[in-house]
Amino acid sequence: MTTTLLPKPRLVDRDALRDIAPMLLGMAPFGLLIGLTVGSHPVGPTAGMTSAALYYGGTGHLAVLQMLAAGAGPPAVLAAIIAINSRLLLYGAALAPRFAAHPRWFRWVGALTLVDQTYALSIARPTLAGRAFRRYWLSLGVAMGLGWLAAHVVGLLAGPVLPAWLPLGIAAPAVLVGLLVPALRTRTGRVAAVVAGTVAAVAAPLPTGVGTVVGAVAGIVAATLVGRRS
Amino acid sequence: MTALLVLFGGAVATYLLRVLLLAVVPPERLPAWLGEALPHVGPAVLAALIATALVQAASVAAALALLAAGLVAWRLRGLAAPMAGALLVMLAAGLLPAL
Repeated sequence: MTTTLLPKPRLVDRDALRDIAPMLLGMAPFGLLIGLTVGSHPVGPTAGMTSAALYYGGTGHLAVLQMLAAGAGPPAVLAAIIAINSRLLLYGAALAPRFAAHPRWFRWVGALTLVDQTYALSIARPTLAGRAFRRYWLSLGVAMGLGWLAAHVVGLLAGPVLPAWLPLGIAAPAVLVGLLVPALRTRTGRVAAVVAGTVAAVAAPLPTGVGTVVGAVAGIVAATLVGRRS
Repeated sequence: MTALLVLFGGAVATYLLRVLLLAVVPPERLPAWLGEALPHVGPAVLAALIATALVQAASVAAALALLAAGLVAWRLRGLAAPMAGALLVMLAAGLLPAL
C-alpha cells in the first residue's frame, strides 16, 4: 500500500463549506441587523465588531447590545448573556464524547466556534473522527465566522445610507420572535415562554434587565416542573 | 468604560460556557437538575426579552408587528421572513395616524 492511494490532504474541507453555505445565507439578515445596531451604538463600531467575532453568535450579542443601550446594570446583562447562551453548555455536553479523543489544543480552540449551526452539522456527520473531524470542524468554524462578520460589515456600511423612515427598531425583537417560535411546538416550550413573558412584563418596572432575568427564571422553573409531571 | 467591560465580559462568559464541558469538566459530573432545566432556558429567555421590549415600546403597532413576525415564523423557516413581516406591519401602521 502506498500513500498515493490516499486522498491528498487539503487544508480546507469542501464538504464543510458546502454544508455551511445555506446556513450562512439564512443568517445573513441577522448579521446585517447587528451590523446596523453596532453602527449607531455607544460602544462604537470597533468594539462592536470585535465583540461580534468573540461572541460568535447573534442572539446573545444583540441582547447585550440592546441592554447596554437601554442602560441596564452589569449584573443583569451578564445574567442575561449566561442564560441566553447556556444552550452552548448543552451542545458541549452532547459533543464532549467526540471531543474527548482529540488533543487538548483542539478542545480549547474548537470550543471558540461551538454554536447552533456547527453543533447541528457535526451531529449530522457522526462518523467523522480524528484529523478529518478536526479539519471539518475548523473549516466550518472559519467559514461561518468570515461569512457572519461580512454580513455585519454590510450592515455597518449600509446603516448611514438607509432612509430614516424605515422602522428598524422592530427588526431586533422580530428576530427574537423568529428564534422563539420553533420552541413553542412543545408543551414545556410554551409553558416556559408564557410564564417568562408574563412575569417579565409584570416585572418590567424593576431596573432595566432585572425584570427580564426574573421572568426567565420563573419560566425555566415552571417548565422544569411541568416537564417532571408529564 | 463599564459598557465595554460588560460587553467583553459577556464574550468571556460565552466562551466559558462553550469550553466548560468540551475541555474542562466531563459532562457526567454535572448535577441532574441542570440538565433538566437547560432545554427550557432558550424559550424562557427569549420570551422574557420580547415581553420587556414590548412593555418598553408601549405601542400597539409594535405589538401587531411582533404578532405578524410570530405568524410568519410559524409557517416559514429562517429569520429573514419574520423580520420583513414585522417591518411591513410597522410601515403600514405608520400610514395610519390612529396607531
